[in-house]
Amino acid sequence: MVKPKFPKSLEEKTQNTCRIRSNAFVTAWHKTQKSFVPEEVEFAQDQRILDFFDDQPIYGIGTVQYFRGKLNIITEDDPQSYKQALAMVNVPTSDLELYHGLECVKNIDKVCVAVNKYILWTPSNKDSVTEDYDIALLEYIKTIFPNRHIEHFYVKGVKGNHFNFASPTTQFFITNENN
Amino acid sequence: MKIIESYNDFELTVDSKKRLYKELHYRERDYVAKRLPAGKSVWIDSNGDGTNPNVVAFENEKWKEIFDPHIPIKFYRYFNSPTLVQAINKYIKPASVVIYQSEEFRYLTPEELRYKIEFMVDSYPTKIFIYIDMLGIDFNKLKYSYTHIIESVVTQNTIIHDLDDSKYLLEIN
Repeated sequence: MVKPKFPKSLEEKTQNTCRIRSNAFVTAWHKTQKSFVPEEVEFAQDQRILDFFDDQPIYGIGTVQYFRGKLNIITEDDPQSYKQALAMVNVPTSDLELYHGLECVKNIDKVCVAVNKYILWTPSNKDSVTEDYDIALLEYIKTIFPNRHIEHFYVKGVKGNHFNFASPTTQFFITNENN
Repeated sequence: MKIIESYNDFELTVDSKKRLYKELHYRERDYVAKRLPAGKSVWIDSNGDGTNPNVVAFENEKWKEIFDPHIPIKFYRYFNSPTLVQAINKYIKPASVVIYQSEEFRYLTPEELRYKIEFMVDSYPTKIFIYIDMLGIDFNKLKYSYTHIIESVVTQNTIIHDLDDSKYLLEIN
């Protein structure tokens, strides 16, 4: 597989904001959509996250409010002391912001990155990026988390039916396992 | 606890449909309203103001039960229906047709978006306004910029109004 070229140019930037933005509307929309169902339910993508983590503290960035109370989420600014991290990317985010936003969790043992692929944007065309968006996203995540085991979940051709804007259906479960 | 994957896993109640429709159409209409020419304006799947005598609102019939039956709103089954096009052109003779925050223009690929814009141009010999939020358009957002995509789908005689961030209003004819 050809390694994407654009992250190299991104690495030339020294900025490391280590932030994925959050949005109260997204959290409210998550709650609203669940309220449409008369019984207690969990979205499939949320259940995967719940199943992935253990009881140890989880460094959370982005729209992680839904998981407070369900997981041991911490959002204090010392990510390197954690063994687990959850990044929920569900507000408009540029490719550069995504790269730098995940910088602070790239060395953590166990990371879940969930991305609503509709809300990403790039300021200019990138010829070197793979045409298939789902594969391009995986390649992008691999450049941030090199030499890691990555389990990739996504809904092919996801439209508005899968609660993607409440909880992203594209998910990367990143560990140190070599299988 | 039950695990669900999509809206196919349960039935929406009328109240849920109302809430959902409101969320899909929550923004101000001023972007379009201030640019409308004089005369009748047809709003398709766009929460048109049915109480305004200059506005004729058409909504997808799947939403029929959420609207006040006393407000004059018309319903359609198929957006691409020649019958709908003919009825609008022949009986309403609008000065403009408006697509605003419409599901018909959401989750489309650029190819599908281009086709629908061309359909509108071919169908309605009027001023046409189409609101597009690129957040809801389905393309490779690591590879292509919003500007590239919007410029690749428009037809001739189109003014692209860059509203803010990801939102565009196409003014055609």
